[in-house]
Amino acid sequence: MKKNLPRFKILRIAIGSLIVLFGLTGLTPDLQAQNQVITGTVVSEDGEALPGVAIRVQNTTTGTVTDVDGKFSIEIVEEDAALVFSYVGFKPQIILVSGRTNLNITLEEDITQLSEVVVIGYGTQKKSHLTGAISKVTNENLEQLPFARVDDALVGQVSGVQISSTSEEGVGSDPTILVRGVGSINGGSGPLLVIDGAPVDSEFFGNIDMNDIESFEILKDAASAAIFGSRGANGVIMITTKEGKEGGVKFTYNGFAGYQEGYKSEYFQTSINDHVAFELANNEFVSDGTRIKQLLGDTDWEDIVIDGGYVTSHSLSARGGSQRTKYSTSLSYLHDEGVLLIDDFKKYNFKARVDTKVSDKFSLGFNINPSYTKRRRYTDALRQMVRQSAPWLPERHTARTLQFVNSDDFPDLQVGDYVWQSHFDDVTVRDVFFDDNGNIAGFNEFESGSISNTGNAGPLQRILERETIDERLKVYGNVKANYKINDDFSLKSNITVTFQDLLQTVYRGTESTNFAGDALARERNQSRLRFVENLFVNYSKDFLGHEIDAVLGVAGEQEIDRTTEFEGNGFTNDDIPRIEGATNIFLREGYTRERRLISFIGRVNYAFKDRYLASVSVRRDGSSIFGSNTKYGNFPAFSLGWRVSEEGFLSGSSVLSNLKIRASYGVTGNDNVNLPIPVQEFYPYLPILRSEPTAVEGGTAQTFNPINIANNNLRWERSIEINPGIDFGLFDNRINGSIEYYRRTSDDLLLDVPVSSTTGFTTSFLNIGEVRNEGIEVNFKTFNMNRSNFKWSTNFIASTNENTLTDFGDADGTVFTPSDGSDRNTEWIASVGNPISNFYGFVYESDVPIEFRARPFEIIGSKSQEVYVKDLNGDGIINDDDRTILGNAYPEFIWSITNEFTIGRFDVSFMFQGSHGAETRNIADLEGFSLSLGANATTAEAPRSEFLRPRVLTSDIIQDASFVALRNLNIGYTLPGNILEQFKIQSARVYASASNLLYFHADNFTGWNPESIRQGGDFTPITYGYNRGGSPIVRKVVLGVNINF
Amino acid sequence: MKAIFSKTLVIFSVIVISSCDDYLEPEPISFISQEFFFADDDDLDVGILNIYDGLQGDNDQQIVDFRSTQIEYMLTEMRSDNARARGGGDATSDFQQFEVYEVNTNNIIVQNYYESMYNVIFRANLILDNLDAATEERRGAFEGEAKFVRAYVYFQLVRLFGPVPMPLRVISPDDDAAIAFTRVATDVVYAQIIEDLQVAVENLDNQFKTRASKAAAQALLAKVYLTLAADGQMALYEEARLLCDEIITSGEYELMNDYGEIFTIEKNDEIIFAIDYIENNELTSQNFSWETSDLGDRRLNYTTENIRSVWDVREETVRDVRLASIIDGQFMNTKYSTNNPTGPLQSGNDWIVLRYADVLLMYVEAVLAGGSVTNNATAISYYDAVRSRAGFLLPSLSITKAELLEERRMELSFENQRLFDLIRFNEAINVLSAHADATGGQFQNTDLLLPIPQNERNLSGDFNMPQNPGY
Repeated sequence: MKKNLPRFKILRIAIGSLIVLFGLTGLTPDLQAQNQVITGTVVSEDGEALPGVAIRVQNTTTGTVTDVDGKFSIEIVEEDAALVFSYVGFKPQIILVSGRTNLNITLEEDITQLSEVVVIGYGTQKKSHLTGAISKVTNENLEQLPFARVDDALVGQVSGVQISSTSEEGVGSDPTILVRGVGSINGGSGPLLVIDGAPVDSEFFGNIDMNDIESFEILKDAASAAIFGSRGANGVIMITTKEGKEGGVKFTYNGFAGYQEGYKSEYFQTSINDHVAFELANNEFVSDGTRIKQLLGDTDWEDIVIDGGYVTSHSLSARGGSQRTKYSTSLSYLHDEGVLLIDDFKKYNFKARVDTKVSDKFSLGFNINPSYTKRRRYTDALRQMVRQSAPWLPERHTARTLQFVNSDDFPDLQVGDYVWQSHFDDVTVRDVFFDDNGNIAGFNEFESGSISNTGNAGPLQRILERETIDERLKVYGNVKANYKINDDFSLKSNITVTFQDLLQTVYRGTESTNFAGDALARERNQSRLRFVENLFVNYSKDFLGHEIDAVLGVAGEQEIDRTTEFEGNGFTNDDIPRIEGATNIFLREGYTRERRLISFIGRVNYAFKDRYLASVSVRRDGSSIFGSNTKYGNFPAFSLGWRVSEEGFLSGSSVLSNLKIRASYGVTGNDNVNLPIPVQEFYPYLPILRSEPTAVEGGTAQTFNPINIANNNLRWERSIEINPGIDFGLFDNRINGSIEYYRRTSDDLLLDVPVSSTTGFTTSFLNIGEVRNEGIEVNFKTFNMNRSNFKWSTNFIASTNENTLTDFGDADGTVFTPSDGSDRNTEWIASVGNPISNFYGFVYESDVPIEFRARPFEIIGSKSQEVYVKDLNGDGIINDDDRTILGNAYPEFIWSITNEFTIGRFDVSFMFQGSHGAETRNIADLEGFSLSLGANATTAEAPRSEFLRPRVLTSDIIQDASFVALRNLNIGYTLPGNILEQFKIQSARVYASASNLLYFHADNFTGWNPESIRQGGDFTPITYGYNRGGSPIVRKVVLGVNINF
Repeated sequence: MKAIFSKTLVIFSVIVISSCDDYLEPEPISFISQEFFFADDDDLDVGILNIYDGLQGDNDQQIVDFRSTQIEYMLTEMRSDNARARGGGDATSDFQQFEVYEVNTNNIIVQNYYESMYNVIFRANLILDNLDAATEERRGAFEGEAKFVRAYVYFQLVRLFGPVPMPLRVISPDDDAAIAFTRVATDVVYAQIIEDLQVAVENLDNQFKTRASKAAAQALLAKVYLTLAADGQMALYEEARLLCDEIITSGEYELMNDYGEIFTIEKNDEIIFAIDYIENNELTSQNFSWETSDLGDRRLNYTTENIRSVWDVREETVRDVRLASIIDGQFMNTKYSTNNPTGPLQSGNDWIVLRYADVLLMYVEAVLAGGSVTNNATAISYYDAVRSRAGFLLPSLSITKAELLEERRMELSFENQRLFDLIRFNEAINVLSAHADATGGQFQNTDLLLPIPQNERNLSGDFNMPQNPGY
């Protein structure tokens, strides 16, 4: 019945094209003519040999690189040839051979790196010729930053890119990455990740090893990202991995080890003594319940849960190669224990890459990178721990605490058992008192009453008896072939296969709650296979001052996801804490989904006289995700640049050494569809029938259940962006930088919109609305000192972002009430003219006087559940009309400043980073320590009770999320060469690296991490900024060593 | 070189060609696309079952998924003098507004029921739109089943909400706003119901009890006629009588000897149409048996003092379904006590829509034809058959309208009949105002209709969907 589709046609064709290219190589004669050999050495101004300098005979393809000692040897055909020497970080030199056979070259350092080459997606471009907004981050010392994931290390490195540790689940969690603000309302706002030219899923950020990375290139404006078409709308982060260099094998070891601790908030540091003092001040006596609590002890629960941890990393690589074949292989291990009680992250990584020139015209490359990570999540928000614990509550029972247990209700407790609050309910404690002679004079009896505020199991067991473990195996494999047709044309083809196997096991043990029957196990198994095939023709030509670089190609992509999920219960013990141990399987789910993409890509980069620059690109994407009316989309882009400083009237200016004016325009798309039913995400336009059982005539039969409305007009979210900018260099480029403005308008946003239920459904997935992001980005880099024994440079980046919802159709003004699983359902509003997400609620006026609080000591700091709110419209009553916008979680201004010093053999760098203008809806401390019911508990109704609203719905919990942090501090010492030579070591550097040594947040912030934001479930970009405590800020110090031998 | 270019060109063009159609439409394997699904009788068979699945509703403790029939008692029985929430009436609780007639326009149960019912109509229309896939011999039966359910749903909607939107095909949110938001006059809705039921009567037989049958369509049509006849179309009483007579004389249905077994033995001889549930499966079970007992979260559909006093006065023993709660001694009703005591959240008791006793009493109602008394012998014999099973063996000499109404109350309590009976007998305003006075409710004549859910009206935009009076 079903058609058997040619599933991998594109793949087969691409493989075929590779084979054809292989075949072609056999046909190509390797032309060699009469040669002359030139030898020589390349050194830096300091006289140090420079290995790996590229040497090319001008206007030919002949080339070589210097060896470890900076020596080279190259054959030339014509005696009057010119050699071009180029090396990253140095100014290129062109030397006429003029009959010489030996050349000693000194390269001059290029502090501006204008000659630098930037990866731009399906090609490269000189940095000086860029007309879009592309930031490059070269991995100089990033691998020495003690981060478990590579995206964490990018924090503060790129203007306009906001990377926030929003997660609640501890180490290894993915941060939220926003390039120039949020442009989608559906959840898919993260940038596209591309590794060595192939789009991969963003989880590779957690699996790839920083030691293998050569550079990051971030395509920020739409003109640059348009080359990635339907997935470029949120920006693109491209990772280029290291390749081998010509010369003997070179080993590099990089390793560090250190300790980390979590930031603790003073708002949670409380003692039973504080409470006694509080009761005395307000009541002038201490209640019975509190006296009993005093006897139980004083536990710092924050200290127990935020317990710190070690971090270790080892990485060993071997790189080298001959003139024809270069190889690079590495092995690494990382273990980060996180700062929370149970979180843990391990990563194993292996990579091998070989690039070989089969002939002068044909080259091949292979790259394989398997990695494995094992992560234990911290599954409860920190808030939960605080809610369940109290300073008087011991961790586990001791002989002492057992004396106070209500043995009628809990007869079987033993030393070492977990403690629940309710263990101590309704007990009577007899306190003996003595007369002056030391004789027993009598007894005081204390009744604890109901001193618990929860009947739940103790906080410790909720954490320790639950585990969620993600084991992720990822393999990245790539084969590429380049064929040089002639000097102008070349053909490139590559195939990338990525594979992921994720096994997520969840176990909630028999002691994880107060009812053993709650124990359950869940297992989720997901495999994801993705193929990416590219075939490109490149044309590159320099003539009479014209430089043309053009590319034309096709790309195909297929992804197949398979997921199965089982959930079972019926555990009576914890001996087999996996789904296999369950005696009842009550949930079986799974799906297979597939998506495909076909793209036609063309681009021309043009430069005239090195000063007039233009770039035009177009991409046409066909996607299986959308319906027949909208399968194809076009993504054009163009940009212009003028290097004013190259003009005659500015040459010789002693002040202005570089000036470029540029502007770009581009269109990009976003096909990242997030829907509650994952299988639907790949077929959002199809009306889906799902298999379900139904009762019929006393039996059960299979039926197919319609779950949505067809929408053949569903299309990409589209972004259009303009981006003018200026690049400049002053005083011989001692000061250089750029300033740019962007304005991105995203429309056709994908949203599940409420529709009339007479259609059979209450929502329908539609394109609706428009959002605008605009801002300014600045980059400054200054070389304050540049002497051979003292160098000092400063890098400053800053960006602003203003996010505005400009159209929301009929849904304008919709109030969203995401559920966090408790009854604290706060409100957000989507309203045109405001940001995409806004906290909504009442404006706090004042607290309820203490005498009217039903449980005056229950809430932390004696806060009441309800507060008086302002009657905004002055109509004398508080109703829904008195709600207003209370803030949003998007920062308006983010910046970082990095200083780097090199003093002799020492180097020091540090980065401060800041974020301003965001708010957070912090409920972490809303229900704090349950100290007591209070002796003067009252049921008296507070005056003006009609003006009371729950505190959680008011501006009182909207806090300033701004912060300034000393993100990184890195101090290194390079060992002198003479010591190392004895050990055959080429170079060695020892370093100490620290993160978040200083962290300043706003005075009114009371949580652990102002960046923490609950996401997923009901929480979308429209309902953004809900802070349940999250994972605390991590302060980390490591010692490391980097050895080359 | 030329060879290379031409080979490259070939590779390119092959890729370009291969990009057509198929490549960008990977066939889903984990689900079926409705666009291509309905191809033959087998597909329609499966689709038909899905209509009943909609009528069964989702078993969910929240009022989020389509709850359908599982929450119907709140909109019907709890607005009558039979039922109350354990906590009593409360204008601020969506669950407790009904019994005090202070139903909010945002009431989530009203909204959920409205939404669920249109979801069932969508499922029925989906089949009706795809009837061309059927073979000639099956087509009629498919059409009959789909139209029976559609008519049943519109009958519920028009009685609860008055004029309602009436999509008769699958409609799109973009193009069919006029259908979605136009409230169609009740006589037009009734005409459609009658037309649909007539198709069902013609095309169905009596092989099913939890799927549509000829008798079910006849019984439902009889009730529709009685409803319209009570509203002035007197000629329809005779039509209703003929339909009841046809069911009765067919000999396919009979009264159970034991009243209690009607509800404990499923698909028994008395059942004409029931909504099927199977216990111990979240996807096929119901939880109203749990929710209306003292096991439930909300403990609804408890007996009122009013009905208990009638049971007492009449000395009803068989049909007195009260049961004292072990929690506080209040009285639940036992009619749908869970058949799954170990897992009451997933109960399997079928919900009875039409049963033979109802048809016998409808016959009497048709013979009464709006009059105040009858001594028609056939009517009396049917009436006495129902009474004698309940232990009232003394033969009747005549039947008054009031006696019939009370007999129906006794026989069919907690079966979601009482409110509609009161309206049909034109006693609703008297009885419910008195009931409200006794229980602190705020009954107004306009409370006989529920409000159109505010959410629908908010979405109606320029169509400005009107609200029922009194809300």
